[in-house]
Amino acid sequence: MADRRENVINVKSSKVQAIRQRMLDSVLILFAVGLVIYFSFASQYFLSLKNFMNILSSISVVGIIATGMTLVMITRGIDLSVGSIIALSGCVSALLIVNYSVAWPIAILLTLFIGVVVGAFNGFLITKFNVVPFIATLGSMNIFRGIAFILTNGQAIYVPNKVISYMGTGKLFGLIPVPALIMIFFFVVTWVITRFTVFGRNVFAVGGNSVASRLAGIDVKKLTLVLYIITGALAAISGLVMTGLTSTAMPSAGDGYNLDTITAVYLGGNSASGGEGSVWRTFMGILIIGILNNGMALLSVQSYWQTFVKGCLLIAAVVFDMLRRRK
Amino acid sequence: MIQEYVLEATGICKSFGEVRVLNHADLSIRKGEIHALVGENGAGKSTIIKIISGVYLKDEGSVKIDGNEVHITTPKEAAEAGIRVIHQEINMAKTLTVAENIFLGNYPRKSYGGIDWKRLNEDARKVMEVLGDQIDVEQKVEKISIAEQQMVEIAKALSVHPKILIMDEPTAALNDQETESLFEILDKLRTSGVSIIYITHRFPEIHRLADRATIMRDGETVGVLEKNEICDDTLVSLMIGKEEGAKFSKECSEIGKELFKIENLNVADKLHNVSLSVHQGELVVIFGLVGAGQTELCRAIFGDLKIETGTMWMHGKKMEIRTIQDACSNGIGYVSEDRKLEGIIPLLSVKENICLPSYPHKLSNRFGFINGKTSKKLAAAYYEKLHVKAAGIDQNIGSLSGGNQQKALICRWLANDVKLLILNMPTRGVDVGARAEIYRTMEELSRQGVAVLTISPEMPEALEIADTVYVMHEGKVTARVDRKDATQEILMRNALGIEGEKEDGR
Repeated sequence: MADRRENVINVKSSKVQAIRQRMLDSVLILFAVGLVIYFSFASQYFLSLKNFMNILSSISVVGIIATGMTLVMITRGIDLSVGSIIALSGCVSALLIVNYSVAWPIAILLTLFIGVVVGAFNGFLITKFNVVPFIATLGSMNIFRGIAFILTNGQAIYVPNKVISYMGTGKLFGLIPVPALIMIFFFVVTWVITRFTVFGRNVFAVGGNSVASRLAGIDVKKLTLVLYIITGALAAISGLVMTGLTSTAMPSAGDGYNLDTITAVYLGGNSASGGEGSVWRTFMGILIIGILNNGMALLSVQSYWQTFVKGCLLIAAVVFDMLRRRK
Repeated sequence: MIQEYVLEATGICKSFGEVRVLNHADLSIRKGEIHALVGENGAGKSTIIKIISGVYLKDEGSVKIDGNEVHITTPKEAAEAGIRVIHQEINMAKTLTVAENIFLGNYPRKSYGGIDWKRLNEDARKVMEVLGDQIDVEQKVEKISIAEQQMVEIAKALSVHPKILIMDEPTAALNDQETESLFEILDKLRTSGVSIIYITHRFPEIHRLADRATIMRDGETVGVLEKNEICDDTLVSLMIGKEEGAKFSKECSEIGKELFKIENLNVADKLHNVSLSVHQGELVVIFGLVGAGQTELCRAIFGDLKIETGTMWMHGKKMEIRTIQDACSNGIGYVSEDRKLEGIIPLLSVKENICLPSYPHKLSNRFGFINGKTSKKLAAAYYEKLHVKAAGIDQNIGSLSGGNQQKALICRWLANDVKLLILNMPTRGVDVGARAEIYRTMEELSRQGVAVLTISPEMPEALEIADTVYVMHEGKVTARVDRKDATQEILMRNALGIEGEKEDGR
């Protein structure tokens, strides 16, 4: 019957799509492997465990946030304020510890709480007043950054706290950087959430069709709010890691990290139109950025080129995605 | 030849990959006729239209216009050859005015190159006058009704004086009066010599309009009927290739205990004192013209509209529904009339689409982890029960046919132990075969003790399936009619609000 024939066509096209998706994933892996091979030959310092740990460590501040950002972007949202939350949370923790002599566990908890509050602020604007996520977080990006500057009077604050330093520069067994561990922990947790939980399936459903999801009984507003809260909290953790890296909190910290995070998500091949995606793709995206930055630095390429190449890669990835969905 | 053919497409073949969707199909149109093109979904109607209008390239066959062979390769060439298509979905720049839309890309210019607004509006007014419609051409398209937008689409098509006008289910979004005025326009166009290819599922429209009809099945032309040969039985048997099992024949139903009841439901400006009840084994249809409040009633019951006053009972127990989540946990399921926008989640599998509402309380532990095995079993059970046709429950739902998507959406609520199933236009865009199956499913569910509440703006459907019809008009229930008393006239008079309150059957 006509029905069956229709299905035959469609099964075929969905298979083709799956193959194309796998192709894209393998293209990325091949690209990363190619980069590794190239840099290994080009620089004698590149191929070593220590350098690999350096790369992991260098991508962890952005990587931690990118896990939450992936979820937000699967639901067709975006959070531009994460870079400012890095600064704000770093500064808050520094002020609490240095100026108010708050014990570090409480300071860290309060900092995370700030992340939750600012994330909720974003989510509230988006769900309660239906502000477009791009604009809501563009506004809050400036608000949070502004607060960081106001609180610190624009000054960097030295934070002589061992625990926070450990979060940024510590090494487990003298080898594995603590920030990388934190990042990998969140990647695994996010993967488990997307793969095995109701919440994770709902994220994909809302991204695929939010009206239909609402009519299937999913509380779309609540889910959206929770996603922005998660991202805010993750950005606060990144802020602590960043502060730990240099033992200094700066109100200008994390500038541009919002865009780096978004770049990583897209670069990994996550669709720009929502409803599908995976944190592992994001991880591939951010790993490629890390390898490139590291390799180019080892080859003493001017850092301007890193920016240039990152831009080219992003556009290539998105164009690839568009070609993939065109029939 | 008695009458000349303006369009002759013969022996058209088209394959996508290895799948042949058109197999030597023919379509010939006479000058100044309305020609109905009929067939189940997937029969090849839209493919042949797309070939004629230059969207697809044919593999084999010939297309002649006015007796001359033509090779149309782009929509633009089709337009130049005098072929215009009005698609089912309205496609207009909503923030521009009616006049601007009519002449989009084709504005009259002044000598210095600027747009001649005065002439634009005058020309637009002239076109609309030909249609006999009084729409302010300087109004923005977003401010006018769907029916008026449809008129503008027609005006737009007519502005280039086409020979052949192709219309794909133009009445899908129109109510009965609007449909009738569209038909009057089509009559006028026919008299003026325009040929119209009219794609539709609705038999009454074929009787009303068509001079001839071409019936397609499985990519082939299986019949061309002259006006005097067109009758329902012939059409159905040609469309499905067999005569039995086509039409849904209602079995005598035994009405059991009351399952669901609403009393004096009020929603600000939308619903006024609506009361109704649904019994076991009873198919209840809410009939009304489009916009009479049926959809609002669904949404109110489903917790998506704020209820001012009124009470709802399920199985004799009072319910408090404030949110959709409340509705779901009380066993209410809603299948929207807009499957694509409000029903399916296209990127997810059939299984996930079915399990979506059941995940939180049936298919996961208290930490929110999904039990994959149980989910699969649950989805597969209902998938098989309703005979959803797909490659399996892991197939992407977006790639199923309309009827199968609809069945999967019904599965979604069955899996969630639905007690009240609200179906808003459940057979919209569903082919004849699947339609009967959906009706049968509804009947069976009702017998098994699920309260089934159906919204239908189509009178034949309402009369065909309902045990009880509630007629709505301007947010009120104007009548409750039993199957044995239901006639087209009673329903229509009440839907128009001209019957008064005397037909109250209780």
